[in-house]
Amino acid sequence: MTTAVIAGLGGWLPPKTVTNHDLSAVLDTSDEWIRTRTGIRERRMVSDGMSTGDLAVEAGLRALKSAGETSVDVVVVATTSAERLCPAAGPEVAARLGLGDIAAFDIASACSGFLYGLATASGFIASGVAERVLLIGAEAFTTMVNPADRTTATIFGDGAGAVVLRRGTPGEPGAVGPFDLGSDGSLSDLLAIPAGGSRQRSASAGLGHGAVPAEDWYLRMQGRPLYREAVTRMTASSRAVLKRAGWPVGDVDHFVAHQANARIVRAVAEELGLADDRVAVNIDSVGNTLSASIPLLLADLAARDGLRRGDRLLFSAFGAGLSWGSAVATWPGIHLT
Amino acid sequence: MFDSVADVIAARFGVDRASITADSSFDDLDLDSLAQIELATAIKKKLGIEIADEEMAEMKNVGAIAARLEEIGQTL
Repeated sequence: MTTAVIAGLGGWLPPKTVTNHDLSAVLDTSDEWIRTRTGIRERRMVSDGMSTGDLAVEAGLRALKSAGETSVDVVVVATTSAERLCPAAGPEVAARLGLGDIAAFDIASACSGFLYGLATASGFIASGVAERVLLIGAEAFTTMVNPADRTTATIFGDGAGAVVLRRGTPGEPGAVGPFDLGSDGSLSDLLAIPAGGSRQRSASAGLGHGAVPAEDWYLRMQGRPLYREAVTRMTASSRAVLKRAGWPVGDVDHFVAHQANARIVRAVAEELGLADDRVAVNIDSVGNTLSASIPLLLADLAARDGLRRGDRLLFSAFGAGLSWGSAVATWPGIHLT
Repeated sequence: MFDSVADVIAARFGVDRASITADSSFDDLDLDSLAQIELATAIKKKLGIEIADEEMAEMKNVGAIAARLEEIGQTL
């Protein structure tokens, strides 16, 4: 049986750092409120025209170098903040990385984008469509958030993480899978950017872009019901994937969860019965980086020398859609550049 | 019921048990809106009674929570 194996990993954060204190100077909030509510101290933000493609290229370069590869068969970019509404970020990123005219596309699944990307890449490898895939989670989502809305302006951060996946077998260190994926579109309004897509354009056809309220260009979030859904779905999805893998929860060495809010991660860990020291957290320094959060967290763990070859990893994510996904993998013992 | 609820709050949030009275509001106890959801979850786990997140948000103080839980418990 052929599966995807993690062969390389890289991450990159834009240099501009914005602390809670910086935000408190322009918003009615405080460092204490942000930290206790979300676990975030600071986050990175793009500026001066830097955008998602730039982040994706930096992370991609590092993952390729880590894998010792100069070519892949497919580039998959998981993002909610592509350079433009059209085209996808993938082809441009592949071109900038000098990878030639290989297959390249985007996955639009918000915070669960990386998990959906992992499952997709695994499918390509298992079916022989590709031997090597570069999967990048890249976000400049702070550009999609209303800087005057304290409930969303404090939460998100920009960055990108990437993995190179190669053909391998299930027992190898680095093997990825099984997976659990799901969605609930009946709650699509809980987390959405109303304007720019076909729904708004069709409704306001002929009226001009000026007819669209300014706030519709930004993210709208209903935090409380989302919190409840996130904890419920991530817990159930994690349980399902652990059962599929035949892993008792005590076997999980690292819970590498999407970092939407530290309290969601802790609540899920508690529901699953995971010990505190198995729960990886880096939201304090990067905020919620959507599709980039899991590879960035993994890169962080690797950089801190916190991973041993063969370590058992549990990934889980939840986000807009609503959508969610979980997967297990083992750490291949590769080195980052 | 008040004692049971106060015990859950003290245990879950590290609040000083002695400081929790029937008049204590969420603000008094420094519990934000996410903590209200966390409390509903803890109450369901420890006391086996389910209170909706929207209802919990309306509760004026710990006394009101205890009274509502007794109501719900009686209809089971």
